[in-house]
Parts: sequence; structure tokens; C-alpha cells
Amino acid sequence: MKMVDLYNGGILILSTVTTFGLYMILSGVDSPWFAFAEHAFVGTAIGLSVVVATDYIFRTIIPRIMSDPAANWPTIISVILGMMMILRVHRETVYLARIPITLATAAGIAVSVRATIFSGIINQVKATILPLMGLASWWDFFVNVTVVLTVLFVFTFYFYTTEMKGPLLMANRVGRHLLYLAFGVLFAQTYMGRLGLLLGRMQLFVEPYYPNFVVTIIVVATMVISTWLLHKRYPELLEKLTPE
Amino acid sequence: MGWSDAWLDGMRSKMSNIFKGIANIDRRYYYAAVFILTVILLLFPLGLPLAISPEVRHTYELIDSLEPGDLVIINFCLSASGYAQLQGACNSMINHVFQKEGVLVIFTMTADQAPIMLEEIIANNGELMSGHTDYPYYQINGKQYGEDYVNMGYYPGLFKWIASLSADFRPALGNNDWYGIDVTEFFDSHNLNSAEDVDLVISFDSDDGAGDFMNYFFLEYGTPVVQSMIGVMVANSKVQYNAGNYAGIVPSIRGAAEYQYLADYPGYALTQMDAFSVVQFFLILLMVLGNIGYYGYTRLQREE
Repeated sequence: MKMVDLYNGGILILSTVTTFGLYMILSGVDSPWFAFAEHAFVGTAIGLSVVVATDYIFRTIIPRIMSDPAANWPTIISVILGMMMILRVHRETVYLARIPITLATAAGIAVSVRATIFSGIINQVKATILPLMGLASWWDFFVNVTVVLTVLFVFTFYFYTTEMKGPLLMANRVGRHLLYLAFGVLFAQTYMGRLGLLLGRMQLFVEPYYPNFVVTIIVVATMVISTWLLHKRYPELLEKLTPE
Repeated sequence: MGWSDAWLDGMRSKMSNIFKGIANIDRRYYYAAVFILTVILLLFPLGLPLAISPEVRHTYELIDSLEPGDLVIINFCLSASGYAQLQGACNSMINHVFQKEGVLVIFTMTADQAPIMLEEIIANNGELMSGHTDYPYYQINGKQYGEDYVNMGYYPGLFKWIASLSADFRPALGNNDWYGIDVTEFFDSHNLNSAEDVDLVISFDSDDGAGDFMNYFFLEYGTPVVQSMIGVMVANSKVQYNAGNYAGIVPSIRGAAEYQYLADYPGYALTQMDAFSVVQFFLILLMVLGNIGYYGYTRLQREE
């Protein structure tokens, strides 16, 4: 057997164990496979972040500073500020760590506010002011009327300083139900996303039928049987293997 | 009490038990049913019809209209949790861009897990260049690494880096690619010096990378931005698309399947759509059943 087959086989088995280990939470029973997958995921994600960030510093920042320190003085100051974040670990120096955090927050807001005014407000308002006459089709008219009326009705839901009565009360109620519809759409989108994740993972395990599906069936059966055995025969060991 | 009343009481009690049973089915059965349905439909797809949405068609036409010499930034703001949803879109859209003759590509990443996924996509669509045995030297549809495309890797900072890329293009990218190779020649030979040289941005997002490119590339230079995003982001992205902030969107697996159909790229997303549709119908059925059980049971309880 080639090394590459062994490597790919190992990846497939590990992938199956972590995926189905995490899905085991759906069964409602404690499983050491879930504990393993959960801790492995957190550890791997943090480890990867540290390695990638460190690599970025050595690949980009340090060569830039070394090439011309005088010209790259802003980068040097940035590095010093970044290193000051480490001072958070000690109670007596924690106040110094607030300096880079404050600067980063202020710079972030300054950089993003101007663009947000256009993309989040002006362009959105422009997209709401739609023509209701001279349209190509009845469908366009229906869509534009829906957008305009929905905006008006939902606005009335957020009137807090006026007594709701008469047409305003009616518009307020319609606005509330339109918001329910919007929340329903968001929930459906979220569900669709989660189902998409499941499908994506399952696709990896069923195609190609051999070896992926066969290996997956064997690994999942092993996981289920071992969990069952731990519950029935070795509850003390199960408790040790599933730390809270 | 007559026999008819006794019979009615008996029926009411039976119905109450049935409704209660429907409303209280152990949810683990639902999970098991979803798993089984998914596996069966992935192994034996039904070939259900698929309608192409105007936004995906528009995105396809936008990419198809790229001219020789155009520069495309393909950004991955994608974590492992979202990769399963966007794999189909990544493969088909990147392959489509690489089919366009003379189009230059810069890969960037604003999520630290993304480089692994990009390498998989490149290997899936390309082949090793002669004389090379490993990344980054892959050719995709005839495009050579270092000549037609470069992989600049991961940049921390998200919107701060994208803002800096917009203002100071070359310094923000640096001279070395993700593998530490000096790619200055790629930028110099094609005269790529500022953000104004970028003709299209495509961002594959499980975080809002396209939103930041829209803020600093579309609003600054009018560069069209296309987003392919995970399911939970679709509603917000549709709003941005309708407002004209995004030039195109490819929403989640559904959008990927439509794109694969348009690009004639048979892939995972297309085969997943059958399972997607059937499981969605199954969920609606469960909702109806659950509500019948709940309202039936509570109504009979009230009558008693």
C-alpha cells in the first residue's frame, strides 16, 4: 500500500471520527468521541491561528522592517503596540494593554464609518425609493409596491413616542407581522445553512462509495458500539473519558 | 350516559393519545431520519429540476465577460465550518475565471483557516506544472503559477487590511507570496500597482469579506464585488445586492448548484440539491405534524 493511500485513509478516518463524534451530541448520551472531537477542534483552531499569525509576522512584517527600518517606522510602532497586548496577562501592567486596544478600536471605527454611511445608509435608502409607474411588468410593480409598503409599515412599528390609534395602530400591527415574516425567512435561511453543512460533510463520506462510504460505516459502527459498551460495562471509565 | 357518549369519550381519549404521541415524538428519530434521507439521496440522486435565479445568472455573465488583461482578486474569508457549503461555488467559479483567456488572478485570504481550502481547490481544478512536485506550482486551465496567478496567502486584520489594500496596494500585499516566494515580477510585468487596476473582486465568505471589499473597492473605485456566502448570510447579502452594492451573489449550496449548471461544471452542489430539496420538504412535513399534534392535543385537553 502506498504511503499516500495510508495518509488519505488516516485523514478520512480522523475526519469521520471528529464529524460523527460531534454529531453524537444529538443522541443525548455522553460519549468520549464527542469529548475528543470537541477538544481537538478547539485546540486545533487555536494552534492554527497562532501558527498562521506567527508565520505572517516572519513572512511579511520582519522582512519589511529589515529592508528599511527608517522608512518603515509606522510598522515598527505597530509591532510594539501589538506586543503591548501581551501585558494583559499581569494585573499591574494591564492598563498598558489598553493603549493598543484603544488605538485599534478608534482606527477601526474611523476607517469603517465613512464607508458604512454609503453602503449601510445612503445606498439602502436609494434602493428603497422605487418607481411605481411605467414599469415593464406587473410583477415588477408588485415587487416595488411590496418593498415600499413593507418599509413604511415596519417604520410605524418603531414609533415609540406617539399613541397608537386608528390607521397608525393598524399599520403598526401589519408592520409587526411583516417583521415576524422576516424573522421566519432568517430562521429558514439559518436552517438551510445548517443543512448545507450536513450535506457537505455527508458528501465526503458517501462518495466514492469505496473506500469512503465503507470506511465511514465501519468507523461509525465502532464508535457507536464502543460508546454503548462504555455505558453498559465500564461507566467509571466513561466518566473519566468524558470530562465536563 | 348513553352508549354514544361513551363511544365519543373513548374516541376522544384515543385521539388525545394519538395527538400527544405525534407532538412528543423523540427528536432523535427526526435526526436519524434526516441522516438516512441525506445518505440515500446523495447515493441515489433523483434529478429534480433546478430553476436558475437572476442573481446567479447575472454573476455568471459578469465573470464570463472578463477580458484579457483584467485582474481579479479572489478572496477567501472562509473558515472550515463554512467550507462544506461553499466548496461547490469555489470550484465552479474559480474554474470559470481560469477559463477566461488572459485574465490575471490574485488569491488573498482574510481567514486563517482558508489557505488549506484554497490549496484543495487548486489541486482539484489544476495539475502540477512540469518539473514541480508541490504547491504552489499548479497550472489551472493552462494558467501558470507566477505568470497568470499568485497566491498571496493570509492577511490578518480583515477590514483594516482591505482598507490598507485599497489605499496602498503593493505595500499591503507585500513582495512574497504565501510560500515565501518573491512574486514582484508578477506585479511588475503586468504593471499592477494600485487598487484601481483591479477589475473584479470575488469573495467566498463565512464572514463578511465581500462587505469590506465593497466598502473599500466598490465605493472607492467602482470595482464590482461578487460574493458567494454561507446560508446564514444570504438575507443580508440579498439586501446589499438589491441596493447595488454587490455586482453579483451566489448564495450557499443552492447558488453553487445553479452556477455549476450554468458553467457546465458537474459537481457536488448539483448532486446535493436533491437531498436538499427532499430534506426541506421533510422538515415542513414535520412542522405540520408537530403542530397538528400540539393543537389537537391542547384542544382536546381544553374540552375536557
